Amino acid sequence: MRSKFIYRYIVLLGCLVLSLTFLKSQDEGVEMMRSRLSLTVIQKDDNKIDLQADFRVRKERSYERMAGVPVIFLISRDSINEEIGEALTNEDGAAILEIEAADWIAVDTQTITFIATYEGNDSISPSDRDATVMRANLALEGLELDSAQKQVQLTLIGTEDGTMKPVASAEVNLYLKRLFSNYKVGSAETDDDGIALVDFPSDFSGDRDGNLDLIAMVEDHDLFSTVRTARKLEWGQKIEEGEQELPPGLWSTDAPMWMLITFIVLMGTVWGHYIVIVLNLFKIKKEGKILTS
Amino acid sequence: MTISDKAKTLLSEFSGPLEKSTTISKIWIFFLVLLIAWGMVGLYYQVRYGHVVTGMRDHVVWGIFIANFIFFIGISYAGAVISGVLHLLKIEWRKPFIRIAELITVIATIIGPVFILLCVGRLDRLHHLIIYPRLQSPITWDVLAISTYLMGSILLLYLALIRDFAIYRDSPELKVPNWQRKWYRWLALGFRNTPEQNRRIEISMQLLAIMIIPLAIIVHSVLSWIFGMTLRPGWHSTIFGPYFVLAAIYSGTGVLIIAMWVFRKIYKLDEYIQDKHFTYVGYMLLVLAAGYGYFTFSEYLTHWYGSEHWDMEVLHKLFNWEEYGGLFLFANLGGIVLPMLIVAIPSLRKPGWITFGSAVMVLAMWVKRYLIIVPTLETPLLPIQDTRVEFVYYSITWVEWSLTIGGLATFLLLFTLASKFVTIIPVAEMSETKAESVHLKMETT
Repeated sequence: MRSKFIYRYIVLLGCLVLSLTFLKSQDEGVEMMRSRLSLTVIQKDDNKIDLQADFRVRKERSYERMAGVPVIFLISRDSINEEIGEALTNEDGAAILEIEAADWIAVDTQTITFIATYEGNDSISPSDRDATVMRANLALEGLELDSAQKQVQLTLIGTEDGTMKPVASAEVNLYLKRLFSNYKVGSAETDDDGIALVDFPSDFSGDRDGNLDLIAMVEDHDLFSTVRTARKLEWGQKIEEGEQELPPGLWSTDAPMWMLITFIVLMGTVWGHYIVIVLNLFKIKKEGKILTS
Repeated sequence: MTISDKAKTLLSEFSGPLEKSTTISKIWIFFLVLLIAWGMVGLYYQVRYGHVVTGMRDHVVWGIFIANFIFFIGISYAGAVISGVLHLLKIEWRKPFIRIAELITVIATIIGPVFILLCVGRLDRLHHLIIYPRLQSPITWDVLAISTYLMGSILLLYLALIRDFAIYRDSPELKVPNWQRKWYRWLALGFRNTPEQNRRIEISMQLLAIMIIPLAIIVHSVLSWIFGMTLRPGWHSTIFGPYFVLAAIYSGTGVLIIAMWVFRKIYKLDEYIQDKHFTYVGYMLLVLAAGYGYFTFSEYLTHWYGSEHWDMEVLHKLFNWEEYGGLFLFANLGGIVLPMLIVAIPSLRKPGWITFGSAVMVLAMWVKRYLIIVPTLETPLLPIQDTRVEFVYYSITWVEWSLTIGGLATFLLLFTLASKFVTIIPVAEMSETKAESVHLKMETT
C-alpha cells in the first residue's frame, strides 16, 4: 500500500518536472520580433520642429504598428550624439517630439542629423533610424487678384552656405483642413525666387465667419524632409445660422401637439382605470372592516 | 370567512411548499444566491472599471444586455396576453396555470428593465429621464409604457390573489409562521367573500384583462420602435412592431409551458396541470410559430429583394457560416420549425416533447434577439475609423455573461420564493364551480 503511494508521488513529481521543462523550453523558444523605425523631420513656420518616428514590429508576415513603445530622439553634432528627449508611440505607432529649433541648432548650421532609436526588450529587437536635414522655412500668403480670383503664394527658403536663400524646383502641396482629413487644393513648383502659386477656388464653405484653415507642405524633400506652414484665411463662404422657423417636430425642443394629446389621452385612460381599481381595493378593505367590527 | 370543503382540500394539497422547505429547495435557493453573487461581482467590475469591461464599444453600443431586456419583456407576455385573453373568454382550462403566467409577467417585467440600466453609461443621470423627458423619443415612450405595464401586471396578479390570501388567513390548518400569516391578513384586505366584494374584484379584473392586452401590445411595439425608428440596416422596418409583439407572445408561451412542466414535476400537480393543458397551449404555440415564421420570412425576403447595399451587408453576415450563419440557422430551425413539428406530429404531442420544443424555442428566441442587435450594429453606415478588432466586432465578455446569468438566477429565485408564499395553483378560482360562477354573475347583474 505504502509503495503504491510512493509510486504515485514519483509519477506526479515526474509530470510536474516534465511540465516545467516543457514550459521553460516554450519560453526559450520565443522568437525575437523584428522592429523597424522611420524618421520624419517636420520643420514648422513657428521655428519649431516635430520629430516623428513611426514604429513597426514584424508579426507573422507583416509589419504592424504598436502603441506605448518608448522612442529616444538624439541629435548628432561633431560625431557626438546628444539626447533630446523621449516619446511614446501612439495608437498609430507614431512617437512625436516637438523641439524648439533655436535650442538645438545654431543659425549657421549647414546640416543637422537627428536619430530615433528604440532600445528593444526581451521580445522585440532594437532599431534606429537617422535623418539628415537642412533648415528650411515655408511662408504662406493669400493674394486676392480680383473679387473672383484668388491665389495662394508659397515661399520656400532653405540654408545655403550658412544663410537662408530661396529654394527652386521644390514641389509644394496646398491643403484645406477638413473634419476627418485634409483636402488637397492643389500643388505647384517653386521658381528661382522660391515662390509657388496655387489657384484657390472661392466656393469652399468655411465657418460662421468664413474662415478656412490652409496648410502648405513640402513633403519628403531630399534636403529638408518635410517643411510645413499653416494659416487661417477669411476666404470661405460664411455659414448662415439664422433663425429657422420650423414647426414643432421630432427635432425641436417641444413635442408636436398631436403627440402630446395622444400621450395624455392614452396615459390618462390607463392610469385613470388604475385609480378606479385601487379605489375598489380600498372599498373592499373598508367593507371588510365593517364586517369584522 | 367560511371556506368551502373543496377549497380546504385544495389548500391542503398545495400548502406543502408554503409550510416547509425541503433540502433540495434549500440547495436550489443557495445555488441561485451563489449565481446572483457572481453577477454582483460582474456588476462591481462594471461600475469600478466602466463599460470597457463589456464587449460594447463606440459602434456596437448594445450587446446581450439589450437582448436580455427584449427577452424578459417578451416572456412577460405569458401572463399579460395569455391570462388577459383566456380570462375575457372565460376559458375554464386556463385556471390551473394562470397564476404561473401572471407571476412570469410580473417577475420578468421587473428583471427586464434592469438590463437596460446596465447599458446606461451615466446612471447618475437616470433621473433626467423623468425630470427632462423628451416625449418625441422612443426611449421615453419605453420608460412610460413599461412602468404602466408593470403597474397593470402587479394589479392583475394581486386582484387574482386576494381571495387566496383570505383563504390562507382563515385556514388554521395552514401551518405557516406568524409573520407570514400577518402578511396574508394584511394582503387579504379584509376580504370576506361578500357579493359586493366579489363584484368589485370581478369588475376590476375585467377592466384590467381588457386593458392589459392593448397595453402589452403597446409596450412591445414601443420596444420595437427603439430599433424601427432608426435608419439602421435590418432595423428600419414597418413590420417590426407586430413582429416583436408576435415574437413576445410566442416566447412567453414557451416559458409558460416550461414553468408548467417544472411545477407539475416538482409539486406533483399532474391532476391539475394535465396533458390536455399542454396540448391546448401547444396548439397556441403552433399557431404562434406559424405566424412568427411568416413574419420572419417576410422580413428577410423584403430586405433581400430590395437589395439595398447596407441591408445586404447585414444579410450576408447572417447567411455567412464564418459570421452568424450557424446562429441564424439555429434561431430559425429551433425557433420555428422544431416547435411546429413537435405539435403537428400526434405521437410527439406529449408534455415532455412540447416542453423540450419550447425550451429549444426559448433559447432560439434569445439568439434571435442577439441577431437583431449585433450584426446591424457591426454594419455602421459611416466607415469605422477605429479599426481595432474589439471596435469592429462585438464579443461577449465574462462580465456580461455573469450579469446575464445573475439576472436569470434572480428571475428563478423570485419565482421560487413566490411559490413559497402563494400556492402555484389558484385555490379560490379552482374551488369555484361553474354553478357558483353563474350564481355570482346573476348576483352582480
